[in-house]
Amino acid sequence: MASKIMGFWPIFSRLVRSSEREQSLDDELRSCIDIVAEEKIKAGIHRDEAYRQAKMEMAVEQTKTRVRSEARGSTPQALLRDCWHAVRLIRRNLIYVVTSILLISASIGLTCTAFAVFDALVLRKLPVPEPDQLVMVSGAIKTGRIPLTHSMFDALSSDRQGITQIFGFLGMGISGRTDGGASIFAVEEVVGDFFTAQGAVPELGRLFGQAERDMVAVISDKAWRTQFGADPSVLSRSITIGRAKIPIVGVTSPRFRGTEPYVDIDAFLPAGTVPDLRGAAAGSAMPLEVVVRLEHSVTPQNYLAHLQSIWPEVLDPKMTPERRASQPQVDPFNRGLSYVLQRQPGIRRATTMTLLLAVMIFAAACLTLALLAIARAAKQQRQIAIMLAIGGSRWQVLRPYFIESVAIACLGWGGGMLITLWWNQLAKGFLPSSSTINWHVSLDPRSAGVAAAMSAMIAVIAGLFTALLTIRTSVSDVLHLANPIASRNVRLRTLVLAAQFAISVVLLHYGLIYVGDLRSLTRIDLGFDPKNLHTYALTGKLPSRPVGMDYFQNLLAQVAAIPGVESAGLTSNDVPLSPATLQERSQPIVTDDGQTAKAGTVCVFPGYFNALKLPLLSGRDVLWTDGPVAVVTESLAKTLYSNSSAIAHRIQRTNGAPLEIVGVVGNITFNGQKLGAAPIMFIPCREQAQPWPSSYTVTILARSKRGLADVGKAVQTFVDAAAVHEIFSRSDEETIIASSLQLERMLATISGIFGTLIVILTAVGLYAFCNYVFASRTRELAIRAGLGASPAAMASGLLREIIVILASGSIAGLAMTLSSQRFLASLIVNGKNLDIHQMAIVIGITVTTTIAAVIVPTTRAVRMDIAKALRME
Amino acid sequence: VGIASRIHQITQSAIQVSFGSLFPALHRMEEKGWLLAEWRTSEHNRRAKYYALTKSGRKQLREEQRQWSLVVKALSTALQST
Repeated sequence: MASKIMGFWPIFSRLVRSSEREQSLDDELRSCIDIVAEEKIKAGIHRDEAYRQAKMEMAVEQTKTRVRSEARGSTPQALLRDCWHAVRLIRRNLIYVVTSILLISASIGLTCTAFAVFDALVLRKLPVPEPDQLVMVSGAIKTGRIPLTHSMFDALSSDRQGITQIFGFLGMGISGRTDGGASIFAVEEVVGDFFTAQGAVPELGRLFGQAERDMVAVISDKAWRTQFGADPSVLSRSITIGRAKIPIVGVTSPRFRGTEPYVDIDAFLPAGTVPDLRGAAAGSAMPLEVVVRLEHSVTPQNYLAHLQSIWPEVLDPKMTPERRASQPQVDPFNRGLSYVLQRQPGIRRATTMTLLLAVMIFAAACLTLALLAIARAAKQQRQIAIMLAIGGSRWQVLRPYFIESVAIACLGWGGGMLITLWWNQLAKGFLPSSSTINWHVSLDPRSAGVAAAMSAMIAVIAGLFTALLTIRTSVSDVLHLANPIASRNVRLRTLVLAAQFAISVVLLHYGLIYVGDLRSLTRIDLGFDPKNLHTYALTGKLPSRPVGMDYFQNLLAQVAAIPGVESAGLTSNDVPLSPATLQERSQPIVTDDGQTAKAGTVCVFPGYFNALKLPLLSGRDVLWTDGPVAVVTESLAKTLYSNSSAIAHRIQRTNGAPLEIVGVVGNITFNGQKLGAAPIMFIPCREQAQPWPSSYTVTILARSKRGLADVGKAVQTFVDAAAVHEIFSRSDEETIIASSLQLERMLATISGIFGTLIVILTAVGLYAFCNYVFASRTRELAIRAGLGASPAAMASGLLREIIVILASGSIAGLAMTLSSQRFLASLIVNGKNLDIHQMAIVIGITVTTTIAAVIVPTTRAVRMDIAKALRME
Repeated sequence: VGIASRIHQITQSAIQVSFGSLFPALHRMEEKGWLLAEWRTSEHNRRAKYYALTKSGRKQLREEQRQWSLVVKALSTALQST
């Protein structure tokens, strides 16, 4: 404590000494005034007049200021004075300061938001101790990776060579309830060292280990808070899954997220203990994702080599021959399973690209700020030079400017943080969402640190440019020339201006292409009409039981009869289809005349097309009695039968009977399809499964002007009465459109924001730079105006001068844009590149900004009095 | 005041140092340790501040004189050659 107090002594001592020095200076000046006044009184001047004259000669306040500025070191007073000077600078350059803060806030906000999303989706590892030691073990067959069976897990568990822990898990969406009636949909059946290998600790109660054989549940912190209202007596409560009432024995800590970082699991159950769950019902045949924690001395390659040697003994004899031919595969598990990301393969790429673009924007913002700093410093060059000439050191003179830069950077950082908080919410809105998906995008210390580093960089850049501009300034130069820096090297100035034009042209092109991209995406035709369309996704109650087509026919008739419902439909798929689902259900097909293609298979019930308002172009809808028939999209029909009608032709799938084409419907644009129409064949659900297991999800479509909840109540009544399914999610028109164009909208909106920012940054930067260069000629222009030159002649003279620079810069910029076309095309959604209109707009913006920048100093010069112009700028 | 008057006098009115320049210069030199200042009573029975050269101040003065001589010599040579 004493040492801490002593640490403040030098500061205190300086403060005391400084106040002594002030007092001494006051005394000294007063004494001098007395002496000078006395001499004047002796010379016959009246006492009051003598003192007045003495005070004027002494110029008391100015002298005090000069003496203070001579004080060496950065005493607290000096710092306070510098801060006060910085405040005055800010007040005097309010437009510069506000523009800078807005630019910094926007660019930091954008970059931090992009970083927060990038961090959550690409960088962040599982919040477990030593995540790099976790690897996932699976089998590799021709078509991809396969999980392991329980018997394979047991075989691996008994061989602990090279590993310290092993666990398996099986995540699933189920229909469960708490004892209070809240729904539980996401559970994970786990086995082995699931909790210990992930360093989990209980927040309440206990976790369970490999030896657990009882039917118990550990719930997540989120489920405890949301489903049980953070009830402290939750350990005496239970959850119900199927026929089983499962007691809760523990709650995980908030930090624990389990193996899937983007899904909020409600409950963890020991595998095989709950009778109605799929894992138990299917015995050991249900596959498990298996993860091991490697010993520190073991690499994944070493462990793979070991697995290869024991694999024949590990393989399950009950597996199909194809699966028995699998080879072991070891993959890193430091980022968890990330199944949600695997289903949306475009997201990581989009996120990475977004971050790259944000960094480019930040670089452009830095350049603009540097130009603004130069322009501002140029205006104050005369003042700085005079301060240097009267004895101020460069550091003393520059200190307020650095403080001003730091203040601007700090305010920009604060603004950037607020924007990041706001935009993080927006970013989350663009990512695929559901009740269980949680992307964990947040403004964490890492993002705040990145923003702080960026702010520091901006402060240094702005301060550095001011310093560079003034460091070589001499008072004689300043007094003789309006702007020595600008006049010193005309060739350099011309080159810099041309380079600025070139960069501006490239950036403006990028910006406009992004904005155009956004505009084109707002006009996408989805193919179906989402207006007033509501969807209700159903999941089967446990235990699963088979239902016939009559059940669905009855349900559909009941929904269609709800007052206000115009039409109703049913499908076993999500509405709209996700690209991952479509890809999973994509299969090769062969036509009766030998044509081959690949098409997604979607199972529908009669009335689906009518409910979607997907136009039936030819043929008919599927019927309740239909066997192996298909309705194909126009794009698939054209691919298969470009010159004739597809109706009545037969197509052969990989498995199952040949399908007769009975109808052709319009194309549907789905998420991730880059505006292309996916080739799809719709088959009757009766053809897929008959009877239909209730555990398969189905989605009801109802088109009505009544609200989602309103219609939902009636649907709920029918669903509950049947006691086969329950509603687990509802979507309205807005959600359907949003999820149809999720990725495209995310990219396009971000592109739009980027484009707008680029245009603003470029225009501001160009204006600042031109204004700086031409403002330096204000004196020359004023003299010419004084000698009779007309404003128009002067402006046209300046414009002629700049047109040469502008033309060369623009040509270079266009060349750079054209050479980067391929890269540009990969960034945007609609694939269209720059056209003549965009080029014209770019040139228009550049020319307008330049003219504006030329007109301001010319007008100022014309209005300026020649005598004033000769005296100072 | 005395210093300003003395400069005015010994330069035969060629150089008139204003207080605005003199005070900062004195304080700068005091800060650098070239001058030592102390309050005394003047011959007119007034409290005044007296400045005296320190050892390092004398050394600096010699250095400044040497530099100045070099400049004067160089300028004289240059002017004589024209």
